[in-house]
Amino acid sequence: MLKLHNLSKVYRTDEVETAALNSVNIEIESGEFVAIMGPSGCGKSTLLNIIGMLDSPSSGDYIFMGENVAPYGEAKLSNIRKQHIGFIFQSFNLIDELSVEENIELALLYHNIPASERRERVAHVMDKVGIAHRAKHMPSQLSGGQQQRVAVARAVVGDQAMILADEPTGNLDSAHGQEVMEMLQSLNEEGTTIVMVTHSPAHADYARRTINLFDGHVVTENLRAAV
Amino acid sequence: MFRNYMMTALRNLLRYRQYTLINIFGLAVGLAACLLILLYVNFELSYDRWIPENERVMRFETRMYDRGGNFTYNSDRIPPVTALIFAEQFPEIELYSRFLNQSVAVALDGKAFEQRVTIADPDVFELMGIKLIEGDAATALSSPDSLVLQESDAKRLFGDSPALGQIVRIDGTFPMKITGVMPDWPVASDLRVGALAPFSGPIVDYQPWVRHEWGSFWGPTYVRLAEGTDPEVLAADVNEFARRVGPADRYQERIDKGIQPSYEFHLTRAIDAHLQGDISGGDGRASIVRLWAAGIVALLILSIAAVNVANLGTMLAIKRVREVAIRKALGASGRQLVVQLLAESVALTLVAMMIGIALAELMLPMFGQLMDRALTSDLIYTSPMLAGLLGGAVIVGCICGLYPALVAARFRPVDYLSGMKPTLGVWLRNSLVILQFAATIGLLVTCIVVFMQAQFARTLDKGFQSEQLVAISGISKPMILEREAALREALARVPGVEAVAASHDMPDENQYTNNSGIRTDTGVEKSLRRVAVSEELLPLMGAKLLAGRLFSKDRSADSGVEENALASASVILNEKAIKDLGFERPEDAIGHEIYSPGDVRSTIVGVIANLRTRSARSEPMATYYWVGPSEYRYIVLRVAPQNMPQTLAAIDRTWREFFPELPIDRQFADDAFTQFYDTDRRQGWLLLFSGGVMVVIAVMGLYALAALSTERRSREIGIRKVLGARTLNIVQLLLWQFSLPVLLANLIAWPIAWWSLSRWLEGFVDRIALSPVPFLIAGLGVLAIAWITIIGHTVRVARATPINALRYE
Ligand SMILES: Nc1ncnc2c1ncn2[C@@H]1O[C@H](COP(=O)(O)OP(=O)(O)OP(=O)(O)O)[C@@H](O)[C@H]1O
Ligand SMILES: [Mg+2]
Repeated sequence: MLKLHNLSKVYRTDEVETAALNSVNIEIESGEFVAIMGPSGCGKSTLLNIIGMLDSPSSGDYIFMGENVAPYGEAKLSNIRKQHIGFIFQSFNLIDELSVEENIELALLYHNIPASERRERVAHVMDKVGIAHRAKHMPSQLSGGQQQRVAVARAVVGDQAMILADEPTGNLDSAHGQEVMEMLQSLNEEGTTIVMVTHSPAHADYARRTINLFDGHVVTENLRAAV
Repeated sequence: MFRNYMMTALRNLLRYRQYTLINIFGLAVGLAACLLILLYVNFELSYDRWIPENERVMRFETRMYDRGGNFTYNSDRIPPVTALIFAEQFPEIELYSRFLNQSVAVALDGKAFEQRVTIADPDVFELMGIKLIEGDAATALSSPDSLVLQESDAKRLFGDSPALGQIVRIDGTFPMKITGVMPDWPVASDLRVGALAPFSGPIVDYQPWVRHEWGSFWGPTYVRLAEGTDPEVLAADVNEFARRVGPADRYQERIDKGIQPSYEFHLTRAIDAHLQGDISGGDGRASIVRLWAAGIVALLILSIAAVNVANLGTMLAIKRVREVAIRKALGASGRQLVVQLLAESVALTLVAMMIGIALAELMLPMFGQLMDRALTSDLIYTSPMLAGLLGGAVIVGCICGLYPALVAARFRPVDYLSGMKPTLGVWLRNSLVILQFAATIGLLVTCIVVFMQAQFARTLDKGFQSEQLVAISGISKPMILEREAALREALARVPGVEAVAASHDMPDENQYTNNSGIRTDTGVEKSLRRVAVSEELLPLMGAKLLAGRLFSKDRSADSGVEENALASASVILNEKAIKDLGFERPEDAIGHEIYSPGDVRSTIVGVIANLRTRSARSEPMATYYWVGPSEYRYIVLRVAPQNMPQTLAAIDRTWREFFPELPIDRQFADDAFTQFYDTDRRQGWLLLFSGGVMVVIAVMGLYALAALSTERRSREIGIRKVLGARTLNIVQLLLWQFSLPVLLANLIAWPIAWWSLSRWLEGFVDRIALSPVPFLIAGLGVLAIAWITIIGHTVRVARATPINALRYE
């Protein structure tokens, strides 16, 4: 699915230069469930943003589905992104002014899909994540767990092949956290590639592979024995 | 405590520098525009207020009625001969003076100067409160040859040498003696006064009939009434007296039947005289309606600037809501916050006020020129005005600050801490923006329509070709009139002059109407306007012949005029006269006879389309044209378009050979037409000025709002981009958000503008049809300007990488 080769990211601010990622080499197969772990500030989010083409690497190659996208500009990246990648954030990132339904529909809005089909697909994913009864609610009227379910629904409604989740359970209690993890797992079983950043070893256990980052380096990669 | 507030205020204003600048500048520009307009309005209102005892000083006017007793129009004058008689008869008239203007040439040491002379009565000095600088007011106008100069005219004629006692030659004919020097006549006067000369003097002989003709309305008459006189009662007595001693009314038999006489005198306060605009266009008068409109526009400008301050204030207050929430959680009171925000807002308006005054001062000369008025800024520095400005700034500051202060103070910290976004005041803010743009668009539409109508009036079919038409005026002066025929012959020989004629009527600021009551052989009686022309005039002007023929030099019968008759043997009528006299078609009138006063019989030989020599506000008058050299007032020339300057110079030279001591007074007909619309043009400029200022302020406000609100929406924009929105999608989204208020504003502005503009256009006899075009231009224009202003910012926001917005909450 994707391959990072000698990939580095350097942030330059007025005074300091931070190497957030340092010659990272990672390969992720289609259909995998990968967890990324490491201490705060080690570069996890940076890595995920680059994989999700929200950010560009400073150097190195990023091969996505056989194409080197590292040199691509914003317009091209945006096209690939909206076709193949869905996002789930720690802070849900729903739009306060839009209802649950409309928030989910937003992911289809920029895909040239007719309104009737949009409605159908939105209804379908809402059922799938069990939020259908809250379709008309506003995000501020939902609990954190419910909000994250909406975010999951939004990430998959466009039939994206890969979902990137940055600490999807970070703001949730353990019960709700587990709920979200089970949802991700079942998506993975249906064939979606999932890359997830987490601080919880228990949640990392849902993944088949864990990548440990430290100070911008990949330190270890653990494969979980098949159950 | 106070110091603490001021410091916090200052720090905050500096922190949001860009918005502070927009606020201050917008408010300053708004205030400056408002001040300028108020100075103009005040100037118009101050007309003739300098006259002492002005609540008792009146202008004698006349209401005119037609045969049926219906009011036709108001004349701002009475026959000069009556003034004298009334003043003698009625002790209530304490002082009186008539004002008759005449342009003369004053010759001195062989050099001739043009000079406006106003024939006035000896009371003029006391009546108008004029203190002579030199000479004795009691005797200055007592001798027939006396002349009282204004200070600047005295300087122009005599330089620094004394003027008093000097002898000058008037129009190369008779001497006059300078008997006094008076200060320059105040600019803010409805009267246009030159050097003063007495009624007993020779200049009056140019129009000898004003001495005795009751039917000759010429120049305004001002009177001062005794204290306690009721002007209405006096006017009634005067009318009763006039009917007794004056000549029989034109419609005497009607009066006997109890129908309104053909005219009736009345009194208008001198200070109101200037504000009776719209009687006829282009006489430099203002109308109270227009001044009201200007005042409202001034307030509108100020309020849309204030709306900006209030709107930006709330947005900024919301930006600081986190700080507010934390402070409140820590125990700060809502009141403290209110005071703080108010202090900021008042500080801001005070700074804006000072900049605004400076701006007004800076723009005053240009603005004065635009409005064609000698405006001064003295009024700003009077203590009531300064106090008003200061108080106004504090009040506006409080109002502008109060709204954001209340919004911020009402906001509960728990709402913020529980993650809700403060969205208070959105509804009100949007409504205010809509109103702002509605006012702006409405004004721009008005502005466009006013200019369109002015353009239309200028290019209106006048019934003749006004291009290359030059009119030399002053021909009616006796010494010119007696050599007029010879002069015309000489002018015809000037190379470049294609044709020469003489006429009673041309487009001119000094409108002059002679009427004759006539009767047709079909028995219809009507009053027609009487216009004397030489045989060449109608062909020269390119008059459109509808039936019959024009006058011809070859038919000597055409120009036959009996002694004292006011019609030649042949006459030509215009279309309007034909209609009024009841002829169905122009051809039907040919060959019929009309009888003018003295039972003078004339034959209608031709009918022409109406010649329009006056403003589009007035209806063309039913007119008969006759060959009457005694009433020529203009020599009219058509000059070739090539070598125009040489031709004009040659014309001037020819004139000088005839009248070396009389400066030539000539004007292109087209220039005269332009002058008819001076008032409209002034109005148009005022509108354009106001509209421009409003667009600038409103768009500046919109820009600031756009910037602040996109900033607030940056997270949403980030999410949309993550979900695949392109830069273009985001730009569309944001532009739509800011176009919506502008589009809604059109819905408010258009009907109001449509209604009031239809009313305004009704004042014109010939007018443009109101079409959607100006409305679309204004609406789309404002939208385009708004877009251009915010698009840069929008694109920048839309292109930003979304992660930064999403990282931090
Ligand atoms: N926009 C930026 N500008 C400058 N430095 C940045 C920027 N974004 C991230 N960094 C730095 O890069 C490093 C990696 O940041 P990143 O957000 O990837 O860490 P993380 O592993 O996700 O941490 P956490 O677990 O706390 O979320 C940090 O040192 C951070 O300070
Ligand atoms: Mg992170």
